[in-house]
Amino acid sequence: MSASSSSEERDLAAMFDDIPDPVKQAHVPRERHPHPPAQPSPTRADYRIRRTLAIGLSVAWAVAVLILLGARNAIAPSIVLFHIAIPSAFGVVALGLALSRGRLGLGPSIRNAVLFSLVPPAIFLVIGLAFQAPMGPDDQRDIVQCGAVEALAGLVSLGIAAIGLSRSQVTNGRWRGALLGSAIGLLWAGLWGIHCADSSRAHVVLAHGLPVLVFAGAGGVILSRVSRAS
Amino acid sequence: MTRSDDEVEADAAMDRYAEGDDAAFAVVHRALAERLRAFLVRMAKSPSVADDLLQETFLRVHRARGSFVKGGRVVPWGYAIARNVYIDHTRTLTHKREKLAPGEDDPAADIATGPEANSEEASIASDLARVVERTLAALPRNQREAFVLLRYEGMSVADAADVLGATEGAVKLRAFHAYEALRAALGMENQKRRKSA
Repeated sequence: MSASSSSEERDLAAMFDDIPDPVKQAHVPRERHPHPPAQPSPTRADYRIRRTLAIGLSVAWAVAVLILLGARNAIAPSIVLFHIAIPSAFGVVALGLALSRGRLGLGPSIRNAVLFSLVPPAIFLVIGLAFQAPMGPDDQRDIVQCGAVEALAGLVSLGIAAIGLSRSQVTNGRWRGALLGSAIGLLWAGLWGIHCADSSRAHVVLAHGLPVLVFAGAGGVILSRVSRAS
Repeated sequence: MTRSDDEVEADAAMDRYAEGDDAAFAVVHRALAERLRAFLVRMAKSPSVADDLLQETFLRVHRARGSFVKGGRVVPWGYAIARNVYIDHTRTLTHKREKLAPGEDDPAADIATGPEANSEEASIASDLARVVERTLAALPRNQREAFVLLRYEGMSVADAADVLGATEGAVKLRAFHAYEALRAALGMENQKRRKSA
């Protein structure tokens, strides 16, 4: 925290001292040896196993889809950079942030969650609009079909993430879910760059880029509900 | 915010509890119970409701223990869970908000009743406490919780922002709006008192 913000905080605390406290002291009857509730609850080891399984399953699913659908024939270095490496790198960063412990162990701050949920997908869309990659005559693909297959394949990853992260966070669920959705979408967009040969602007933006935003939205709605721990 | 020895001990105990050591619950309970109850009394404005919510909070702490991150801080984590419990409570009870009956369930009645306080001071303090309590209860939840965490629970703006899932700027603004409303209410109360004197 900077010196100016801490002095600002001291001023704020001094100002708030004007307001009396309506609750003098909260008396809680002291139990000598309070016992935890009798019902069983998952420990950290259970969460670890579930999370590791979810990551393993997601990777296996992505590899299986790529093997099943196949990779494109020729990939120019510019395509590797703009359509594969950049969204994948953004996806890894967003995923790392979404799973990070944060300052207090409550996950990433809302500012970072909002920023990394929205900015990387936006940058990927701008890259898609700005960059026209070289294409062969047989490389054209149907936008709706390609986008739908990518979205469906990614939805499986979202479902795996929902199971892996269920009941795992106590605060800031909506944006953390959106961040995770955005990460999954970006990783799938990178993977789709390996599979889909159509590198035209419209195709990349609509079929590869838009699903990322859909995933961010779906993450905010679905993952925020299932991941709430309390 | 620097951690006291008690908080360090509580964090370590929560780590053990998250790993499955049930005996560590007693330390976690000792570290959290009074703070969370005070927070819940201020939010729910009824000690009896706060007691129920506290029990529910510890039940959820138990259920969610495995999600406590290694090296995390148990106090903000506990506040976040208590806040969720309070939010769920208000959602289910919006149509029948409990009214405070004067007497032992009235937190304002607890203020300034020590033997050294004379009756006039006690009466003024009690009246002001009631004004604060009424005004706090009438504030939007997000302003109330921001103010309560900063003013009464002694949290830093950054910690409160993490607990509330809001930006630091938003927390400051919400707390300041609450402060302005409380100052206005206390100003009116003082004016009334001067007129009647």
